[in-house]
Amino acid sequence: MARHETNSVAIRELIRLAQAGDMNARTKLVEDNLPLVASVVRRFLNRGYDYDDLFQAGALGLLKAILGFDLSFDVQFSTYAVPMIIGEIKRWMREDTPLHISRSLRELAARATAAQDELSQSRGRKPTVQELAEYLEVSVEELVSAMEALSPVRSLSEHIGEDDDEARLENIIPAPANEEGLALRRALKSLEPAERAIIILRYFAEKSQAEVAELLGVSQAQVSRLEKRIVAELRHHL
Amino acid sequence: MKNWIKLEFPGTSVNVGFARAAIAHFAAQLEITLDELEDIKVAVSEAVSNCVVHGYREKSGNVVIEASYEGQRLEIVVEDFGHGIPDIDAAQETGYTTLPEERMGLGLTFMRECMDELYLYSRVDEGTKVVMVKNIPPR
Amino acid sequence: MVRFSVKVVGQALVATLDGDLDLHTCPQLKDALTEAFEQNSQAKHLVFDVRHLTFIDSSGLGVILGRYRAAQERGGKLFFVKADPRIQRVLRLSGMHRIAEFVDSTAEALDRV
Repeated sequence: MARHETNSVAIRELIRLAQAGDMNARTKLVEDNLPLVASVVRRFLNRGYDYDDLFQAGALGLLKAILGFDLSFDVQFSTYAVPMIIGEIKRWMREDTPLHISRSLRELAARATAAQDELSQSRGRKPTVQELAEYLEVSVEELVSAMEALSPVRSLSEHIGEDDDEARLENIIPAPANEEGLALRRALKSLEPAERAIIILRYFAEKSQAEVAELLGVSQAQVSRLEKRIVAELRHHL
Repeated sequence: MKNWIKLEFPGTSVNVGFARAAIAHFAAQLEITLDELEDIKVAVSEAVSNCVVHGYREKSGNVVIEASYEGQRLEIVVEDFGHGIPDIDAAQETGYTTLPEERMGLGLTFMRECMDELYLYSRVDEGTKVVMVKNIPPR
Repeated sequence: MVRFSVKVVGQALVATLDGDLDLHTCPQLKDALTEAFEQNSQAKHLVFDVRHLTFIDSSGLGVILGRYRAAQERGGKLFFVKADPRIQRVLRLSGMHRIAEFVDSTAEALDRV
């Protein structure tokens, strides 16, 4: 957080550029502030909502904050952004649809797998579905349904933590075990922030093109074009 | 305890998943583990897929599943009224390609691995019936 | 129901699978893999991220095996990422463990090619 304050002039310039349509500036601002979104989302966690849904809503709030920030006011960007992020999360929670149910079913499946391991160890045999259901405090029907549900969209913040930007890159790319890995990391550092964000989101956070497009506020076609070009460039580097 | 259900539905691929889910829920009435449930889902999926791919191919027709249990003995019968299998022995040899004929072999192998007993009955142009039994050990 | 994504990373096709792979859902995957393979001649390895795969039977395996044959012709390898015990059991039943490697991450698979 301190880093943002000392670079407030730089941030305002980025915001100015982003509001003028500079995509690089916009994606850098989004990338830099995702930890901020994660820290806001943490406040809403124990209400039964899915982390990924909350995060997506928060990221949208961040984007709105970037585009709507009034540069004539003398406030820190984060001071303005946090309420916008909270607002968007709250708006999402109000509009939450039943699709939410299938996500919690998938979380139930994950809990069931963990519970099966625990109960197997304590009993010396695998538990029956009745025993599992009782342990998890759900009905057998819910448990069996859960094993068939699809998984929720995975969270970007699983990969991007709350560390500094420089450290973040090290967190995302696995420790290079060989020449190729080092070359890859060097090549990634040579990219523009927007390009790097796309690669990180697509290949390390494993977001779909549609998800990246939404996160960065551009069209999927643009993401597709950029990705092709960037990968070709990277291959050339390596 | 005993119970039975009978399902009848068109032999189309979209119903394979439904059949798995329905039989899984039925089997969950027994004192069964998730692994055993998974075995049953695989077996049902293979049996119904066979009806769709081999029984019916370009034809259309229904698949009938009768599932029943008495105590911890679960029996599942999957039947179609389609082409039938001309050479049952050849069908049961395991193949590793995506060719329809050899896919059936792999499917039957899975069914045999997942269930305790397997009986295959077929008549050309009349249909195929597969009877699968799983004895769930008491806990 | 199945959701999946197929992308090219270097010389590998990385397919992330989510849901059930059976008779009904596997044709879409087959088409996507075939298209990606044909459009990317440098892609020879197959990496299947199956951590969110909830079901697979011989139909799904057939698609994977079919694509593996094509990959083999290009000298490629086959990997499964984060296969849980239930999925591993079905994979082993078909003998997949003899031709594929089981790894814990896509990065690990890419390291091993």
